[in-house]
Amino acid sequence: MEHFYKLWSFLLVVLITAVSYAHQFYGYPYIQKINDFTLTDQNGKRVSLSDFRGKYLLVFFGYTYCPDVCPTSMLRIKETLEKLGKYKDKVHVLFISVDPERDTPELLKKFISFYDPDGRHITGLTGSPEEIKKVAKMFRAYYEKVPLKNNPEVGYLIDHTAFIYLIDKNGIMRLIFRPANDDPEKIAQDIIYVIKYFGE
Amino acid sequence: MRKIVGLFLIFFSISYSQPQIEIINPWVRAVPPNAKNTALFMIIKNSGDESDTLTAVKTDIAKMVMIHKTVNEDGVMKMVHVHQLKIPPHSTVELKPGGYHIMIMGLKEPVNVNSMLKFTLIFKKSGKINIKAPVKMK
Repeated sequence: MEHFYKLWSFLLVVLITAVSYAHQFYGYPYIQKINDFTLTDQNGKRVSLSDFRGKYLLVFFGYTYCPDVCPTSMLRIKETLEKLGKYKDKVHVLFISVDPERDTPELLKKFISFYDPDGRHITGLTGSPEEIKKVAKMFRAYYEKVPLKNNPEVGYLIDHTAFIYLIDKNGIMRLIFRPANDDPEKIAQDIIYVIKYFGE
Repeated sequence: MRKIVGLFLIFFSISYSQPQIEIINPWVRAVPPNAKNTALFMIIKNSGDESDTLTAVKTDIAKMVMIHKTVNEDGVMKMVHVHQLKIPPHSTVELKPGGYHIMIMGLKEPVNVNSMLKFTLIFKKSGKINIKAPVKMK
């Protein structure tokens, strides 16, 4: 009987150790196939999601006139890329504009280059309002113009969801990071775990 | 005599109970050179016995400045215009990313990292407070 207890307590210790080693996701696990779509990049070139097959993608919906939320998220994304180490080149960022009327490819180019010093890790995407609407719908990203009174200079702001989506190398969404969960270190750890799990 | 002391105490308490405002760690967020908008953040400390209210912020670097609050409503980040920001006595109010902030709209020139930008905060009771805030990439 004593052996029985010893065995159980040993197994319990093994179990607890195993559980504590398992990865606790910081982001919200999610599985959704993202259908291919085509938008216009910062160079005016038409690019499709399928062009990025083989890369792990971080997708963010925002706009360049955004005063608080998007600059915060883009900085966190920049810091996340820096924390990926050798996995940095496996990851690419898509910044999709929810303000296609103002966000021209030229504007996007200057905007993303600020967060992508080597110019290889972030693509800015814009398109016609209909195209953007279709893509946003697939991600359940919401956005709505909010006119600013007595402010012709800015005209309007946009209320929008500010999630960062992680899509695997086969175009399947795996994790969603909420704006409150924006610790670059933890996001990077999640990404590295997913890359290791699904392969480089 | 008691009346005089009482009156004196009332007078004393009126003249000395007032807000005492201190601005801690103000900073402006670095944004891309073509960005039109950014935001100013800080901690406002009131160590006085009375509340004060931030009513306006002025600056030469942009066409318009407003007190705003970012609100997360079921995952949708909304900008709410705040007309006045009350600073209760013996308390601090933090203006930080994703919360209260001074929205700077229509930048006249690009803001460079580490440059110092001037602002005038206008409080209802404390009047004008001039500050210099560094531009930070954070």
